Amino acid sequence: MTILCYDATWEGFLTTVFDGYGKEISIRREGSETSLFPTERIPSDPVKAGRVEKGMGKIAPDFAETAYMAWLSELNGVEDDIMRLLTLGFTLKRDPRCDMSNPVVTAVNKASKQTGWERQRMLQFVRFTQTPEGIYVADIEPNSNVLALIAGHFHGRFNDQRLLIRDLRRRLVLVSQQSGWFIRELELSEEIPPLPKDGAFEDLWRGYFHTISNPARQNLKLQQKFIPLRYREHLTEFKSGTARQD
Amino acid sequence: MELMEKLNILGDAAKFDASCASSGSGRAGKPGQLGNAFSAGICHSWAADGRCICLLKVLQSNVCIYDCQYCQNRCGNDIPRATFKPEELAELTIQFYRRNYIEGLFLSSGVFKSPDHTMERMIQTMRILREHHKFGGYIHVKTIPGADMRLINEAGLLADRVSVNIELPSSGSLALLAPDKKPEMIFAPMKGIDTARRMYLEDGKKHNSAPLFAPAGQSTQMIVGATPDTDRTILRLSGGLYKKFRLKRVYFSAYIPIGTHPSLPPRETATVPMLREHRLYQSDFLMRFYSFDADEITENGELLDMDVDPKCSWALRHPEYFPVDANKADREQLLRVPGVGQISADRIISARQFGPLRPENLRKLGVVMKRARFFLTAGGKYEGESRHDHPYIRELLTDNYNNGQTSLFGENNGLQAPLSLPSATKELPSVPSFSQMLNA
Repeated sequence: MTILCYDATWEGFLTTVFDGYGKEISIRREGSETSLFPTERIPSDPVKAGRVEKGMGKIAPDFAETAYMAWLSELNGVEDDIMRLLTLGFTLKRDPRCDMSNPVVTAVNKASKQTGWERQRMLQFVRFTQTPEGIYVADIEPNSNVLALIAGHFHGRFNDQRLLIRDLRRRLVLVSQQSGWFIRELELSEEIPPLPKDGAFEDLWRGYFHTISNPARQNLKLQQKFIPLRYREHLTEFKSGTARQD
Repeated sequence: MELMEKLNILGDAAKFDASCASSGSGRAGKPGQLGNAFSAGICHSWAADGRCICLLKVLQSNVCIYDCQYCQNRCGNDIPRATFKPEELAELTIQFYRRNYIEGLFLSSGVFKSPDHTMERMIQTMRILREHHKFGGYIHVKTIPGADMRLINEAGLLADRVSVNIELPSSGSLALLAPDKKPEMIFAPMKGIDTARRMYLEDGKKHNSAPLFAPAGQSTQMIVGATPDTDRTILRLSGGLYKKFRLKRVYFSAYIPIGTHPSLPPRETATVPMLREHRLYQSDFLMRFYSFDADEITENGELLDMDVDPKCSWALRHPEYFPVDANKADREQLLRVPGVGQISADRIISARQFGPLRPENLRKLGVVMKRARFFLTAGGKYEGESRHDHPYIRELLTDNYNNGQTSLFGENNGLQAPLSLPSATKELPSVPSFSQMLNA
């Protein structure tokens, strides 16, 4: 078995799929881990990637989307699962995703669903604070790489605002304003400035958050099911403010 | 009065409204303007009671001229009062919205001065949001019983969802606890909203510029456990409302003892009927998505089975329908199986094209075999012990609310207490029930 290494981009991954198709290989992100197997580095090639994407379209129109979502989950070994599912699709000459009792299908579906969930969570849990210049800034640390998936939503909704959403884990920044949005990768030397200080509306929100809860129905376990602890660090309502400290 | 204090009072007063949906309205944002509506709805947070916060749920005012006994804001109750100025509330909504705290505004109100006056203030708030701030987000407005139909129409053109609360599920209870409200004050606006909605929808088919009237439809809410109304009454009424006025949702709200009226459950000893509320919601979903009928669900008696969920309860009463063969049954039949939902039914149908399914495959497809195994066969295999209403099966199907396995309800909320209805039956004047009125 050979390990194929790619440059951690979607295009690079598709190129690797093209080169490794039908061979006994395993695909890894560059720098993810070392292995005893011989390792080969695959340079990204837009022509090869385009052909794989076209092939996916032949299996099913939305197959590439499932594969992309699964790939964004960045789960360990998800590349191999996608590769296996794709091979299955080409062999069967039909959409393999319906065969949900097949473990490869379940694995890819699970990964793509994880990304979908994470995206939904980010639509829910991004919290902006306003800088004195009127820019709205938010920090996130999602497990899947969802910044590109949420960009359209925030750009469309807050079209008259200037926004920055910073993925602290991947050092990516989404910049959005009326004219459009883009994602920028921070340089290694670049420091991330702290969030602006909370103002009156942050306190009002925290106050409201406590008020709206009905003490006769308190249920913290249920609350935690919906807001897992790992998201709370960046949620205004769970930060301590000056409003209420109970 | 400070904004913080107002928000505390008016947020606190609004927490008894159960509805918090922001779904059903899909509207793209306009360039250079704020806000859009996400058709599936987005919940932004969850409060310590486990209920979602997706809209800023507040009252315009908690000053009220009515004295409804079940309500915290009744005029006879000694509580601090406050009123939002329309500009103030609009500004607060916008600032929360810009920070991605909320999907929009849920606006309700106590009745100050008169129903029309109150409704005008609420419309003014919405108008400032829509016209001054160019706000494209979600607005849910509660209409005031007794307000003029023209005002309700105006509200429908500004809001995404309009609702009229029934609160008490029979006219007898209404006469007893809310003597100022008449059933006509509730059903007339419901009918009016439905008519207007259909009229604007027809218009929309003819020309694109037709305005939208409450695009997310109308909903209502009923209090459960404050009066002796039975589950059958409540479910028949909901079923009737879905059919007759095309309501999007009926919400149930377990009564939290706040009143002191002699026919209400006593404040000190009464428990919040959370399990009953839960069973009603389960039945409501069966009616809306599983083609069950209110009478099918309550054929067993006036009250729902508290031990097992209504679908299991129906299945145990009807062994003649089971077991269903997972490899052959159509969608309708699969949906009747406890432990099979809409998604797993669709998955079964698509997966079985690849080959016969066996029980272990079903588990992977998301079928809850803990319940489904008594009612399904797959590949000639039946994994249940029996499919009749046997005490042993019942025990296996019983939700384990008491041993901490499920966290759907909080602790110490009276789930262990036996279910009993408030004993005011004698005092209820014999008048036709709402559902009879609906069918008349």
